[in-house]
Amino acid sequence: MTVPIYLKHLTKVFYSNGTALKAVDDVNLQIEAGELVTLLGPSGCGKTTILRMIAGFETPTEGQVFIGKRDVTDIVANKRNIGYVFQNYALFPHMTVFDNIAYGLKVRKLPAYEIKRRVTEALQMVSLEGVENRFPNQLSGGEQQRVALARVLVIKPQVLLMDEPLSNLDAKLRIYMRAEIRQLQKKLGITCIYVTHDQKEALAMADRIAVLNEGKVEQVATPFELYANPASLFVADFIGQANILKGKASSIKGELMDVLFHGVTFTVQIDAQRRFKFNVGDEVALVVRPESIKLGNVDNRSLKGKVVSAVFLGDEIEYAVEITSGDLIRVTEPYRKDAHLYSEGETVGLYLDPLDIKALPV
Amino acid sequence: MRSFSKNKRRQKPDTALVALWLGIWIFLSVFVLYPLARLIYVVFFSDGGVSLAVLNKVFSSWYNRKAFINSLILASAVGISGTAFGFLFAFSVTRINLPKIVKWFISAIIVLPFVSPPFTSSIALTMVLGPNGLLLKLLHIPDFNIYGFLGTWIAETLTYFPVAFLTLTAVLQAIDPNLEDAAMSMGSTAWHTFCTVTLPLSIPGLANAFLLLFGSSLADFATPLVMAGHTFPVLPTQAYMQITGMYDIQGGAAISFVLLVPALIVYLLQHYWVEGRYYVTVSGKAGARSKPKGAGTIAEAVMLAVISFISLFIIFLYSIIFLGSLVKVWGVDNSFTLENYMYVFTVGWKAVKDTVMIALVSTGIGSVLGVAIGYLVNRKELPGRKALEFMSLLNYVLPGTVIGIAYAIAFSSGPIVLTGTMTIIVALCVSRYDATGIRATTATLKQIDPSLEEASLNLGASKLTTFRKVTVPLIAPAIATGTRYLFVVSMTAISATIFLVSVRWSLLTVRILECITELLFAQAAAFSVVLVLIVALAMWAIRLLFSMLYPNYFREQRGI
Repeated sequence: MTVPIYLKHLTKVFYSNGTALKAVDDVNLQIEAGELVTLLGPSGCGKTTILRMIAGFETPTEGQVFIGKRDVTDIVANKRNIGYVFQNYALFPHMTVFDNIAYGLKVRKLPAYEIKRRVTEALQMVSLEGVENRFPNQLSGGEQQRVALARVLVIKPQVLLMDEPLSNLDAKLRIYMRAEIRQLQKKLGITCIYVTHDQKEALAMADRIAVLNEGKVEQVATPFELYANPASLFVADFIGQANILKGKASSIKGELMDVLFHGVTFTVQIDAQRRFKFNVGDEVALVVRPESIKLGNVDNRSLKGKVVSAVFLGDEIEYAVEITSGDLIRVTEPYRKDAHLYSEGETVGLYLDPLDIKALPV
Repeated sequence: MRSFSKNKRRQKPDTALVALWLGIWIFLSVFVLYPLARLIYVVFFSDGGVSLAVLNKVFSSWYNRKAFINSLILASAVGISGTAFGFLFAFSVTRINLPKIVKWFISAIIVLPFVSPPFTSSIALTMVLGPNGLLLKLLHIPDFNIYGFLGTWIAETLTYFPVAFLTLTAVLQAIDPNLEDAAMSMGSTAWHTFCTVTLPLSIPGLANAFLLLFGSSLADFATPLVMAGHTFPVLPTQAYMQITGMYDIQGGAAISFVLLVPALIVYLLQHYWVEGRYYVTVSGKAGARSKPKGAGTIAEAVMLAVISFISLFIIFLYSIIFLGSLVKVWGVDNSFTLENYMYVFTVGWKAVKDTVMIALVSTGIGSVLGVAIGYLVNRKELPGRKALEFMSLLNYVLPGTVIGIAYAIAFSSGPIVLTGTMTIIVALCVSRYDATGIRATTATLKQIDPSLEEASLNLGASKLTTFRKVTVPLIAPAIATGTRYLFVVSMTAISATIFLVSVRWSLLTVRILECITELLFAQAAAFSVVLVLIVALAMWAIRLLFSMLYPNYFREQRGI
């Protein structure tokens, strides 16, 4: 049985020494049944606080949490039937792996044979068999992570909450585990909220990503949509790399807008919904991804610049180019055998594909 | 739409927690606040109003004024010598490469004073250097007088330096040896490194050790009672004499009240001044720990010579106690006998029984209370946590004499009369000696990641189950520490309990004191040996109990 999660005007204010800190500010979010949504944002953006309120570890200052149709806002944490994986795993150090996983089942007073069956099943699920009698500190970080996962899955929770579960693992294991967690989540069809500050992790795992900044939701979208159509400068800057050029809107015709930037006019598309946000004469930010800029000879359609640094990374070459406006532009070109390598100090022309330019109000 | 979400929510503590919190406040009010209030009332209210008349009267006597000054001199001397000894031992154990057996031996010597009755070193010292003393006879010194400042000073130093040792060992262990490596890599010699790096970094620890010993000596009642004699009066014994000798409880209260002032100053200094600068040098996760550096060959040789001498002297004293319990009349008729033990198990049997009974009951109640208070102090949602912590440690921080007199006053008349009962002694032991359990629980709980308790709640366990299945096993080592301490001190306490014993309830320590005053040193020694054995047995039993209750108790307990 898989259920949606609905956060309604969720707000959390922390009071300390007389000052109030709004950690979570009027968050509204609908997570569909079986969906994996990541909460992504810099540290201190309130993502963990949201998760803790859903789990019942924190009481919201305002707003409500719905799991399925049930309003759980005033229900204590141990009656919510939610799985929560902690950043530090929070395995009980005085219990064996078996007792850790069996903990939730014993609390539910299941018969011993049933507990044994389900613990074994859960360990199989996370491909970790034969460690039942070990203590957590005898396991590697990756194994502890799996035990933590098995411990929450064994109680068959309605929803799964994960708080940066992979942040204590090394890079390689992280990539492996995220694929495995995602697979498991899809197989079980369990609704999942996954908190991370690692955008690659978010992009790789999520059905949808909610980008948070200072307690507010900046944008909720699929990974593709988020990268291609960031709703704000914060999102554009936070997801992937982005060059942000500030120009002036010189004319708006339907869904096309001309933006003048240092003597070059770029005609960019704007979607109908954002149409009203732009006015002729306003300052406009142009967001350009490094991979959508081509380098070539200088002509009147190009921006002129000087290569400041060129770094060969194998699959791509990363350039920093200083253009006449003084802005430093990042450009990445894919590796090709016959590619021309520009060297530091060389003068180049930058060609921006208008279709890949995203205009945002400043 | 948003109207119904307007009412702000606050986390509510459960009713069970509130009930516990209230219960503990009631206990503390009755057994901490109330006696002290009565004491203050007796001292400051006379002739129907607030006055200093009682204090004036007591300290118009030059003898009592001298006692005050003597107390401070003695406490300072013990603080300095005990800290020095403690540092020598601590440095040797942590910084000099000693064979394992030597280190084990040193820690055994350190433990002895903790588990012994408070008179042990005094009795032994008297048997060695007192009238008919063993050493005096051997060295043919006929007219040496151990009683007075000298004897008290030596006995107290030997009794209390292990406290300094434990404090300073922790401090020295916390100093990263890489700092010493750094100094030596810049060309400093081992001795110079010791003087410029290790010693300066230990100063907060040294200050703390000094304050601890100063406070202990100031409050010590047993040692001066035996060793100080009439020429060297100190406050705690003066207060006792005033009450038992002159039947002047008001005067005794006034003398003990004067003890409060330096004791509180020491506590506040320790708490707010030293603790703030304590761990500045700890650099968190150090890399690989390098080998200890020592202090240079000559200095090490001197240190080892000194600690060897002290260690041998302590062993000598304890052997004397044991031997002394097996002879007829020490120094006069040294023939072997078991009569003294017969005496303990016949004449002294009631005291043995009563003491063990009181210690068991106090330990049972006190360890539960200690855990409860330690737990509540860590609960953020309850108001007045600081006050609760302070109040629960107050009886421990204040000198035993003060607490004993306050209890004697408070519970002999008025709404609660407990004089002569076991309850009054148990209440005192519990409210005074649960402090170690409280501190250990608080410290351990602070190290336990709150996510462990949250994980338990998340898996469906109630708060009570979480406490039982997760919290308690994790703080089991702290509970064991508190339990052991409670039992030991309930068995060996005297400074406060001496004011509360009666015909119905007697204590071993009081019997020992009676033996000493009647010059029955052999019997006193036998009582002491029996007491140490009971304590050792109890330590073993508590260890066994905890390893059975929490099989993972001996494993390293850390939140993962």
